Amino acid sequence: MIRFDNVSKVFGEGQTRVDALSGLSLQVPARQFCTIMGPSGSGKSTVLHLVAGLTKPTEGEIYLGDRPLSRMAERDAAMMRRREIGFIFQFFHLIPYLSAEENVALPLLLDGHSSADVRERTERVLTLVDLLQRRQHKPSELSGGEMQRVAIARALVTTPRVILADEPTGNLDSTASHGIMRLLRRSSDELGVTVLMVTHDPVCASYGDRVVRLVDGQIVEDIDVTEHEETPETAKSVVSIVGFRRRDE
Amino acid sequence: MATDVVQYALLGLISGRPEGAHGYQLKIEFDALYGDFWSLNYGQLYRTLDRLERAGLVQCTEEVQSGRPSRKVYRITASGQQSLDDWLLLPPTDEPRPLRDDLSVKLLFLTEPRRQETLALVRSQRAIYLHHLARLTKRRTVLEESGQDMFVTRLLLLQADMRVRADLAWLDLVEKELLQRTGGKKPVASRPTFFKHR
Repeated sequence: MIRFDNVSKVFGEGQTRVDALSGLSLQVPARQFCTIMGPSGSGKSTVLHLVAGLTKPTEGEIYLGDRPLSRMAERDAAMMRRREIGFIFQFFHLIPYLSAEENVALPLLLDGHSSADVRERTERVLTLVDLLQRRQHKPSELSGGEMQRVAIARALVTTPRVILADEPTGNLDSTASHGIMRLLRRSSDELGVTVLMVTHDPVCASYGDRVVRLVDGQIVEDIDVTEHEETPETAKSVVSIVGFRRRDE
Repeated sequence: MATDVVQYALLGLISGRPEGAHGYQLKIEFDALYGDFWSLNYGQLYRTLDRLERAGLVQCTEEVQSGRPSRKVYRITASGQQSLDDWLLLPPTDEPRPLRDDLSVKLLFLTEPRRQETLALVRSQRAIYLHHLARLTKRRTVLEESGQDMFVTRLLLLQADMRVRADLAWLDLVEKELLQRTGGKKPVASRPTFFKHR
């Protein structure tokens, strides 16, 4: 779904030259939940910005599906970003004077959907993130975890093929983080969305299928973290013992 | 897991089954609760059960099964229950667990010319931790979706999360320090001094 072909990105020149990425090749298949980790300044965010078309590679090519981004007209690229890519950020980036529902509906309104379609889709994603009851609330009336769930709903409302998430739990406590990660996991499993996420938190990374580690703009590790499904037998024994414990308490 | 802790863990599991528990069942339950953190093999299990029986803390009876070999069923005795209760409320006296994993010992002896191999070791250790974390995460999700009250298991899983996170943060630090030495910016340091032999 996302392919980096020998991509390099250089910022600045001469004394201030920074090689953010050096000859990066990476393929993220459709529906995969791929996490990018690495120390600060390793090029993680640059990867997301390149996929989003917010910056252009110095060398190499990036493909979304089978389309090379560099050869797309700016208008087509903007359209593709709006329709096929959802963004989630560390600081949510919700519009403060709009309600949760209006924030979610915004990408559809910008894209000229009918009001019936807007209502139907907005309700569907707000249900998915379990915030239908709080749809009238402004961001300031929501907790951090709820704001991020609104942001996920907004990202999903256009039924994108890709979600790009930049430290989505960087500003949340561990319970809220868990909820957000489960939503991203479900987006991949149930909606077939390809997720590319940057995080510092290994616990968040453990929800994904794969961890790519960058150091100095290069991939130093590519770890498959998918596990074989837990057998119903072991799952049941856990449940039975916890159930038995509870009786005992 | 220290021997006496295994002993009390088994005693605790047996005490939860007044109808009696057999070895295989105890193994399954032990693995379900602690399997992600501690491994217990059958040899260790049966040796511990024998020891509990000899000490009079559990009582063992043979249970005849039709068409299959008979099996031993364990029940806790009054003195077993007393011993368990005493142990549960005994204040901890152990010192904190020392740093004693393979990698920290290897780091002591892997010298500068083998930095690349050292980095590879650090990285494969990280992959192992991430796998472990992924398994814990799945376990936690499965448990939550089962809707069961998982008070103890949830706390254990959170503890494991925190430990793995700390281990990974340490690996990041080791990697960073190793990389910083590349290019000869710093002289080769002598052995790290933060490990204290016990």
